[in-house]
This record gives sequence, structure tokens and C-alpha cells, in this order.
Amino acid sequence: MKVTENMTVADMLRGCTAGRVQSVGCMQVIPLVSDISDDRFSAPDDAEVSTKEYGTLVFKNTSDKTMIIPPQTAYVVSQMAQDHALPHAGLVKAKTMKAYKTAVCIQQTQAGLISSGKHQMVILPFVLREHAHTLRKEVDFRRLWGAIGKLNSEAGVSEASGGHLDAFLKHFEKELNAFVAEFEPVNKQVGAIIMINGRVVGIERTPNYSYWKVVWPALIRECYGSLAMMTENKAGAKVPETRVPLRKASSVADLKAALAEATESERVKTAEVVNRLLHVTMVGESESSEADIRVDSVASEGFVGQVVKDGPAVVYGSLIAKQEQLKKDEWESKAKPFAM
Amino acid sequence: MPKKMSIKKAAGTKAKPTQPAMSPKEMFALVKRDDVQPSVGMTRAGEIQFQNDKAMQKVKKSLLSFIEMAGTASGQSTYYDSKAGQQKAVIQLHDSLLDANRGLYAAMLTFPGVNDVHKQLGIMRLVGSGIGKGECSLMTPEQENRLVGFLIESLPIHRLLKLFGHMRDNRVNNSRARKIILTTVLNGGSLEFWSVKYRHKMRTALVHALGRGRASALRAILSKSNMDEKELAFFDSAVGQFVRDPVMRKSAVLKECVCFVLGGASASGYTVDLIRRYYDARGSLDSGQGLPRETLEGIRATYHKETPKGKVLELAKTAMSEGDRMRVQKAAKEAGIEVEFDPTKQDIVSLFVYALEMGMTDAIREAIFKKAADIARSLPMSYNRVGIVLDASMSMFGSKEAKRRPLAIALAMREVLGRMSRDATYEKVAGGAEASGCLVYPQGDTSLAEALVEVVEKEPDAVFIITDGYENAPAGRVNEVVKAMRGFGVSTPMYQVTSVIDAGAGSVRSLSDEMIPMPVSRPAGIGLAMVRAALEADLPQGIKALIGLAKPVIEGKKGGQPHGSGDVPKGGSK
Repeated sequence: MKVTENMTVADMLRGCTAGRVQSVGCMQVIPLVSDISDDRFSAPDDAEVSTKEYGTLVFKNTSDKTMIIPPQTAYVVSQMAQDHALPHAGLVKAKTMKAYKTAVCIQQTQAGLISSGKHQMVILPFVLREHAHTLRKEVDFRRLWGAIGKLNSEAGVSEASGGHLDAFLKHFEKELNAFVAEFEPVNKQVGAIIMINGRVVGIERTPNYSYWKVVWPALIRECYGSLAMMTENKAGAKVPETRVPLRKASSVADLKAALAEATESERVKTAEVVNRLLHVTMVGESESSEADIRVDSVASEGFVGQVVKDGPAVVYGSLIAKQEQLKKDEWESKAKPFAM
Repeated sequence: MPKKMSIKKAAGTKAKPTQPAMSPKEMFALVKRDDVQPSVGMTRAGEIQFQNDKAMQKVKKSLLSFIEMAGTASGQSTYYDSKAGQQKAVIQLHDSLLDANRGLYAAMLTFPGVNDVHKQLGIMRLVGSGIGKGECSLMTPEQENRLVGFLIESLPIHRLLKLFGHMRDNRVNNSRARKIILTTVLNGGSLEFWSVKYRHKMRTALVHALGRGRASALRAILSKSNMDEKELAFFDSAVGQFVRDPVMRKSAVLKECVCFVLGGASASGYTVDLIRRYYDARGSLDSGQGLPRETLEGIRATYHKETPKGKVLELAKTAMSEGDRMRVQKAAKEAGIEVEFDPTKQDIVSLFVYALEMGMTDAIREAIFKKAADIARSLPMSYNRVGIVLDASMSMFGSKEAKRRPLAIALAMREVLGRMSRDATYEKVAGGAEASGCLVYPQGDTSLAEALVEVVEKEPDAVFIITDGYENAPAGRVNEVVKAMRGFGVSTPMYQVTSVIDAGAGSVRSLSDEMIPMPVSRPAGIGLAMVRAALEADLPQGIKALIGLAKPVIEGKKGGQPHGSGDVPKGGSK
């Protein structure tokens, strides 16, 4: 392991400002907007994707820019072929092809290889991402089947589904699609902080505006949408504490003031939650590079993820809350500290 | 130790991550209706009667859902719902209402704002299924026939031909269906043009209506240079008797067009201008000038592959319908060809779809304003001051299938609603980027609540929120705001105008139960919302009013728009 310099969430989000909070059910999204749109990088929609053998994902970058593949990018295709995912971030130079032997199969009993073409990307459901990240360096195409089977079973998808992510996505297709409409991209957006039940579960930052528009539907639908859906299915739809109800108003003018107060109060409450995370140190580990561009893995007590850096500049970053941290948060929100 | 591979060869086809959409055959398939017990009927005294309370609730739910869907859902995917989900919901509603009462179902199909897909499904059900055993209807068979005729006349020819194809697929070939097909195909006034443009669809329809044997015999005798008396009598009984114009009935145009459509080869050669050009164009594309664009493109792709596509636009531009002229603007611009179109001949929503993609011009804006004013005048309500909140957030962009359409409908509604006020209109756009003229491009989050409060502050007589029903800044805020306003005495009626449907719930996604939903797919459809209000207030009286509204149609006093009016060359048919 080659340890690189440590960093903080604040470092990762440098150059961004927070947009207005979007809030539906237990989920809240804080858009990250920026005047900096680094157009040297392309998104995976410019890639022709295929599998060479089980566990090997091949990306052909057809653009004239370096392509960043987000960690846990997956392809669930309609061909008679085994769906695959890449458990870590990838870098593919302009007009080149790259094969990753560390990919995983995500459709246990389906035979066949994906033929080269433009396939719609998804990002693995949140509960699979940490597991995939932990096993990112191994070479064994079967290593996610157990976790997918567990996800299917916990979500109430047929027992027989086993390591079939497609079964999960098909079962919840309508619910997951709704998230795309509910959380909309805003002008100059390059990233987002995602909260469930008032706790940060993910932080995403991309290099430019068009990159964000490409990856956002996959992030909000399969990754974070699936977590929000499962949270609500488990504990019922609860409005988080960071969503402030309107106070009583006595006139239209007073109502306008009440609206402004509620919006500001929401902003302050969510800012408090986010600010607590900004300066926590994350340990960096260098993973791969293409010329001056480098992929690092980062981890803190509560978060894990990967960033893509160009010297000191973070051009891409994806952090997710660790399952242990979520459990701890849940327990601490239920059980107040003892005091006499 | 080497790892063992455990991927097994899967048997059968692979499960796709999305629910497959229905095929047209499935979508238009009819359910067997042997033992139907209508849940609503009419007494001899003319009173509406329900089987029981449960049936009444069911009918009410079906009617309200139908009104919501009839103006919006078309079986296409939306930003949130799959095509399959939409289709299933649409079909269930049609069947449930048909079972409730056939006449009531038929009456619902005649209202302005019911979109073409629903009319097609309705005609299919009314024509394809006879009155079941023990079934009663709020209409007599004669009235129902007139109503079906009205629906047929109101549909454009390409939709009718598709419907006839569905009839063939689902084996609907009773005498009523056959008569409808033949009179429709043979009396459109553009037989020559339709024959070359829709040759295969016309053949499907004719062969289905005539039967394979008769069609084949007809093709054989029409291919001869001369017909004897017996053959002429056969032609007249098979085809001629369905042609209303006595001159056309005896004409060579009719015979040649039918021969051409059925795939016959006229022994003496075709004399009908367009059919002659059709064959000549195979040798020289220039000879096909005046043929429909799609036909000419087919000939180019087969016989003149080296000729650029732009040439087809050049040759076909005089034969294009107004709708076609607008549709090809992008391709014409790319090919460097000027194809003029008349914005006044387009509907207001299509003009907005066009302008959102290609940009606004003075002529289009002028046409939009005039059309909006005309529609507003035709609506049975007006206000002194109208408040409008327009949701222009990103989700209003629409799906891949219906790109820009939800926003185009919303913009059209904004223009129409704004003209319903006598004194002033107060308007606020939530999200989006206002462009020059009357355009807005979708963008950003959905913060409707602030916009609503600002509009209400101006004290309008009614407020219309034009939205897809999704809000996120935060969700539920509009409901909180409306309830707060009601709490301190604001009684202004508030309407939610929505052009997107949530197929799962079978209803429009509502922002607040304090707001009156108005689902629309085109501005004229807002009248349906009034019917909805009547049904909600008093179901039996609402149903009587419904039947009353359909009276001019079922008594033959009101005709539809002649079909194909948008599908003939500029300057009329040849």
C-alpha cells in the first residue's frame, strides 16, 4: 500500500458551493455547484463497453478526453450476457482501450459476454458499494454474488434471485425511476451531498457540468434511491429532522416570511450536519494513474471512497458512508447519552 | 487451488431490467365480455340508477380516473413511468368503464380533450364487442353508431389505418367493422394521395374488410384492361357501393387506386397521375416530384441509393402536408433546403415543441397568441384576474419518447389561461430559464411554494399551477402553504393543471388535496376538468350531464373534424 497525503472532505469540495436543498421523503440532496467546469474529462457515456471474459470489463474511450469511470459503475444489459461491474474507479486515456481484470459479475447464473457497444451505466446500489470497494483489488469475478444475494433477500426480492442484481432492479423499477424525477439537476451542478434521515450517506463530485448530468441518474436511481427506498420500507416514510415544517402564519405576508424562515432553518440544519464532516481527516492510498492524473482511495472512520486528482486538484470524488457508521448513527439517534 | 467457475448456462431468455412494453396487438386486444352486469343504468323515468353503493363508488372512481387519463396518458413512457405501466393502466380503465355501462363509456369518448389513443381504444371496443348478454346501455344501437361515426371522423387517417390494422390482428371483422373500414378508406377525398402514401396499410385494411378471396378476385379483374358486366357488378358490390360520390364510384381513379393498393398491375397502364409518378420515379427520382415524402424516400433508398436524402425534401416539398412541413424543418436546414410552413395550420402544442427545439420566430409567436386566444374564447369560464404558476423544472422536459412535450403543453396552457382573464394575469415561473418570447427552458429544482404565495399575494380570482406534480424544495411544501392560506381565510380557487400522469395510481400526482386537479394533454381539454367537478359534486346528475353533452353527437347534429385534414398536400388533394 502506498500511502499518499491525507485529505479532508473540504479539500475534495474546494471550488464548490452548496445549492438549495432538495428534499423528498427521507432523502435530501444538497446540489454542489461550481463556476469551475473542467472539460478535460469525459463521462462513461462516451465509452464502448464490453466484457472480454468473466471478470474483465473493457472500455474503449471514443472521446478525445481522458475518461473517468466512477467507482462501482455497472452495466445491466439486455443482451444474453453476464452483467458486470467495476468495483473501483477507472481512467482511460483519450482514444484508447483499457481492460480491467478486477471487474465482477453481478448476474450469477447468466452466461455470455457483453458485446462492444454503448450500454447504459448504473451505479451499484449503496449497500453493495462498500463491499465492492473493500474487495476492489481481488481478481475473482464471483466475489459480489453473496452480497447481491443478501441484498435481494433483505429487500424481499425472490429467494431464488441469488446474485442477480437485475432481479433487484427489475423488482423495484418503478420506485427507483421516481427518484430521477424527484431530484433534479440544477444549473452549474458538478456534485451533490446526499442525506438520508438527516445523515450524510454520500458525497459526489465530478469534473464538469455535462459529466454530472450523465452520472446523476445512475447515482440517484440505483445507488442512493435504493437506499432511501429500503430505509423507508424498513422504518416507514419519516421526514428527517433537517426538514423544517412551516410555522403557523396569519397573512400572506407572514406566510412569505415563514417560508423564508423554514428554508433558512433547513439550510442551517443541514449545514450543521455537513460541517461536522468537512474537516475529518481521510487517509489516502494511491491506486493507479494515467500521466499526471491519479486515482487515490480514501477512508476515514465513517467514510470510504475514491478520488481522482490532478496534482492538488480533486477533479472527481465519490465517498460513501460506511455501514458501521450508519448503524452507529442510528443507534445514537435512538439512544440519547446517559446523564444524571 | 484453482477457483471453480460456477456460471451455468441459463435456460430461456434473459430477464431484462425493465418491464417490456406491450405490443400493439396486445394493447388493442379485446377481453371476452360474455356475462356483463352493468353497474349503472337508467330507469324508465330517466333517472340514473346504480346496482348498489359499492358499484356507485366503483363507477365514480372509474369515471374520474378516465377523465384524468383521457386528457393525458397516451401509453407512452413519461419521465417517471415505463411504457408498460402506462399501457396497463390505460387498458384497465377502458375495460372497467365499458363494463360499468357501454353508453356511458361511449359518451366519455366524445369530449374535447380526449386524445387519439383513447378514441382508437374506444372504437376498437365498441365495434369489436357486441352488446353482451344481459347488458344494457345508456344509448340505443343507432345512437352508438352515430357516435362511432363521429369518433372515426375525428381521427386522422394514419391513426385510422393503424386502428384497422389492429382490428385485423385481433380478428375484428364483423359487418359493422367492414363497413366502417371501407367507407373510411374510400371516401376520404384524398384516395390517390393516401394510396401512394399508405399503400401497405391501405392494403391491410382493404384485404381485411373484403376478405382474402374477394380481394384477390378484385385484384385480378382490376388488372385487366376491360371488365365485363358481371365483373363491374362484382366491383360495385365489393367496393363501389361504399363510395358516396356517384361520380367517383364510376371513375377510373377509384378502380386504379384500388388495383394499385391491392398490388395489381394495370394491364393498360396507370393513368392516375400520382401512381404513374410512383412507377416513373423508380427510373428517375425527378419524375416523382409531388409524391409524398415517405414514399419518395422509400424509392430513393431502394432505387437511387447514391442520391442524397436532401433531394427527396426538394422534390416532395410541394406535396407535404403542413404537419410534415414543420416536422422536416431540422432535416431541411441540415440539407440546406428551404421548406416553408404555415404556423397558423399547426396546433399550439406542436408549435411550442417546434420552437423549443428550433427557436421562436415572430410568425410562430403570432400564431401561438392567436390560437391561445381562440381556445380561451371557446372555454366556458373566464376571470377578471388570473394567477399562473409555471413549473419549469428539469423533469418537465419529458421522456425520450415525448421529448419537450410536457413543457410544450405547459407553455400552451400558460398562454391559454393567461387569456382567460379580462383584466390582468399574474404569473410566476418556478425553475427554468426564461428565453425570449414566450419560451422557457426547463432547468433546476421545483420550488413552487414561493411562486404560489407571490401569485396569491396579487389577489387573483383563480390560481392555476401548471406542473407535473413533483416538487422537491421540499416535497409537501405546496400543501403546507395552501393549507396555511386556507387557515387564514384565502379562499381563491386553486387548480393543478398537469400534463403527465402517474400510471400506477391511475391519477394525476397531486400537490395538495386542497387543489382541484386538471389533467390535460392539450389546452382544449381543460373543459374535461369541468365535467370532473360535476361528477365529484353529484354523480347521478353528473352522469346525466355527461350524456346530455354527448347528445349533439348521438343525435347526429355534430360532426367531427374531417379525418386526414392534416395529411393532404398543401392546397388540398389532387
